[in-house]
Amino acid sequence: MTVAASLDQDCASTLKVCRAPLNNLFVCPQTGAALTVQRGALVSSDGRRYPIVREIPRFVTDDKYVGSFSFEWNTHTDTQLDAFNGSASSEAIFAEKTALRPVDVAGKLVLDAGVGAGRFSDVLSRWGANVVGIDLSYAVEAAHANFRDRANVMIAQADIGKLPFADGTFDLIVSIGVLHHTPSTETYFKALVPKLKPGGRIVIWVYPNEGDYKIRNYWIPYTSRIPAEAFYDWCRWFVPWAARRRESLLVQVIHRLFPFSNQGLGMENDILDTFDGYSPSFHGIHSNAEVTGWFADTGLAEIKALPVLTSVTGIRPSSTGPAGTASTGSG
Amino acid sequence: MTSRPIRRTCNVVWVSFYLAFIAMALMVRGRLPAAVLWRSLSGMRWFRSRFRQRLDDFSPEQGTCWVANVAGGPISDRDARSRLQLYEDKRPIGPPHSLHDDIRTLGGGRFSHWANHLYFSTSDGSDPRSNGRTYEVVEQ
Repeated sequence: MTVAASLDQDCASTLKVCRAPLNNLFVCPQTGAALTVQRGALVSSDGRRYPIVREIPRFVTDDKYVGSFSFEWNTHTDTQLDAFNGSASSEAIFAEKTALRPVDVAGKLVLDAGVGAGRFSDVLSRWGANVVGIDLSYAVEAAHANFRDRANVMIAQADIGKLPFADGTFDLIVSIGVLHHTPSTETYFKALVPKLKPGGRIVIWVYPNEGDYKIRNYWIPYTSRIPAEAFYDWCRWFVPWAARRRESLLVQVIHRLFPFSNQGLGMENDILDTFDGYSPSFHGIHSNAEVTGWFADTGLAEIKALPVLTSVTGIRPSSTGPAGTASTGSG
Repeated sequence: MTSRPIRRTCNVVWVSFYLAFIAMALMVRGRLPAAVLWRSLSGMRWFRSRFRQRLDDFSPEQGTCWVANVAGGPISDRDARSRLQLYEDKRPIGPPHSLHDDIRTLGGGRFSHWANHLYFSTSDGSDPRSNGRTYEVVEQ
């Protein structure tokens, strides 16, 4: 056996490409051409190569503007995963923000756009979906490690703006708490929609333009400049310090000016969530009307604003009509 | 080479100063509510004696909820966490920090100190203007 053949076989097995229905999903994000596994990479017919590094296909060369997420999710690899922490909090949050139930996703091909460490892919996977999780950051290392033994999850490093999938690939696309961290929430949302099959559903949740999200929006231009390690050290000191003094006036005033996490899901979660709230480069905040407007623009139908503010869902019509055919409802 | 604990301490110190500076800059620019800080500082007990006020002017709100004016000074639930306790005939009633809807519908002595108002219910749902009892708030 040649070295190349050996590598090909190795890649094929580790990529899970032999496992239907996650078989042959990827295409060249530049041209849409089919990709084949060759010598440790996915290669298009015109010679473009996308390396498979540590068993993960890479469609980007680095983590661009999401370095804080690379740091965050490789520090807290499993803090928020129900399968590891023994709680059902992520499942409850997912159900609340998507209004999906296990019966809605079982057997479906689902794209988790912005997988992070895999908090919601874990839920989808346990509910019986076949999940493809992508992320621009090196969080994919943590996600891949978390799902190494699950045949129904595939992880890749890719940009939502240049997705390595053919149009009409997925039955369901979910993106919960991700798109507002891109340079343009609207543009990146609209890049997802064509990847839905006709009749497929998309559900997103983005930051609402009110409350703590609005206050954090003022901080982000300054806090996102703090090196990730330094800010994380500060969060590791501050959040437990504040938690011990929750009743003190000083901490209550700080909380009004600098809202920090106190979700009741444990100290590690609060440290992670505080870091997550202030470290990203982009922090878009949006109204329900704005988000439902994007859904209508893309010709989605059965658009519904869910009870959780700025959680919106819609379906790609079987035959896409003009944007005006979409109906808008509220939950 | 700096050891990790020293570097961590340095990070905590410089980030704290940096964030305090940014907070002040954001307040000066009107992005963050400087009034919260001012009200909180002026409401701190270090700067004045314990707040105490007898309530005697009651207006009906909705359901079992009544409203009384509270003089400025102590921190209210609007800004942080009020420390006022409501006494009915010198007996503490509550709970404090109640939702206004609960005060209206459940009553039972629930109250909330919000800005310069006290939203409250009497312990038995009676009219505080005619039940003959005294009502007083005292800072804890």
